[in-house]
Amino acid sequence: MSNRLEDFIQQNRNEFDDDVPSAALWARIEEDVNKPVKRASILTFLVKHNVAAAAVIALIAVSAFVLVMHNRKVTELEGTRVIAPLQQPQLDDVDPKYAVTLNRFVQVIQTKQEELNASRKDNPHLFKSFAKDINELNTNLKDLQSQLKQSPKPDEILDAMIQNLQMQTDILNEQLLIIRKIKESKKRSNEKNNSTI
Amino acid sequence: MYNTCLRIVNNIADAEDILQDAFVDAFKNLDKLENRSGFGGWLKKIVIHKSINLVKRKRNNWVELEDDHQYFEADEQLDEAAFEWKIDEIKRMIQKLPDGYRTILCLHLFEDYKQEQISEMLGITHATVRTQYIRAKKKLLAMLKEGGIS
Repeated sequence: MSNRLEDFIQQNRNEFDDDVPSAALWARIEEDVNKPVKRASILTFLVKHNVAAAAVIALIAVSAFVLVMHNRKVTELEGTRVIAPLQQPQLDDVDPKYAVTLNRFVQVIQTKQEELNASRKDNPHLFKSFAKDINELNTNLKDLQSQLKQSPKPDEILDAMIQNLQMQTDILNEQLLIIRKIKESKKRSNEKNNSTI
Repeated sequence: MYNTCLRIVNNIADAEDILQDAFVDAFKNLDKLENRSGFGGWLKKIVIHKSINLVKRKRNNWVELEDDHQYFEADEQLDEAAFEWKIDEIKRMIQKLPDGYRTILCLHLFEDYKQEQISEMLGITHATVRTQYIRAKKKLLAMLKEGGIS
């Protein structure tokens, strides 16, 4: 069979992609992505076990408060953060599909940065080298963003920004994995020491 | 991505729902994304997978070959060189294809999947994909020639 239909579609491929979704779709996606996950189950739990649960929740709340205060004290003592916090990029005139993706990556990265920042006291040297990798990518991201408005091909810049954020997510995942492994091995050796004493 | 989905599911509301689901799934599973270069490709795979599942769910008999004797009895060979291709016409006629034909045709023609890949994605044999693709294309050409018989 001749391939003329295939050739025509290949040559005019982009012109076949001219349908666009409704503007409301991106708002729906953003709302869904930012929806808190566990609130409903906590409420159901409270309603079902009101009295006993209230006592337990109060206890958890007090413990959490003490823990937060303790952590805050530790943070104050340690001075400024070594990882520069990732800023939400300015995406006013950007295609919503890119804006939603970029913003979501930034949220994920911010959470991971917080987790990593919390471990810097235990492994200061390791943390310093981790921070260097992330800060370099962050500088690169800022450069890309400054090119965005002037670029004749903003989609290429936005793709590069997404790739940059993806790399940051990957690197943070690997770094957190290393930190967790170190913690586990420290814990194991402590347990071993205790058992021999 | 939206156009890929729309071509397969053939319905605006379904396409938007799938896109929404796919984005939310992708974001919830960002941790599992291993290939650094491919967020877009990864998301597109999720979109295609969800689109295929929806079409399969809606049409239980979708892999069976439809009765196409109308177009194939004489096994007419259409001369593609004689066609004057028009993008809008091709799009319109693709929408009129039966689900199975449309899915296979779109995956191969627009998304550049090889027939072996399509057979894995749809859980059917390579031979079925090949036959369905040839028949889908013949049907599309016949409809284009006749100006829109569905």
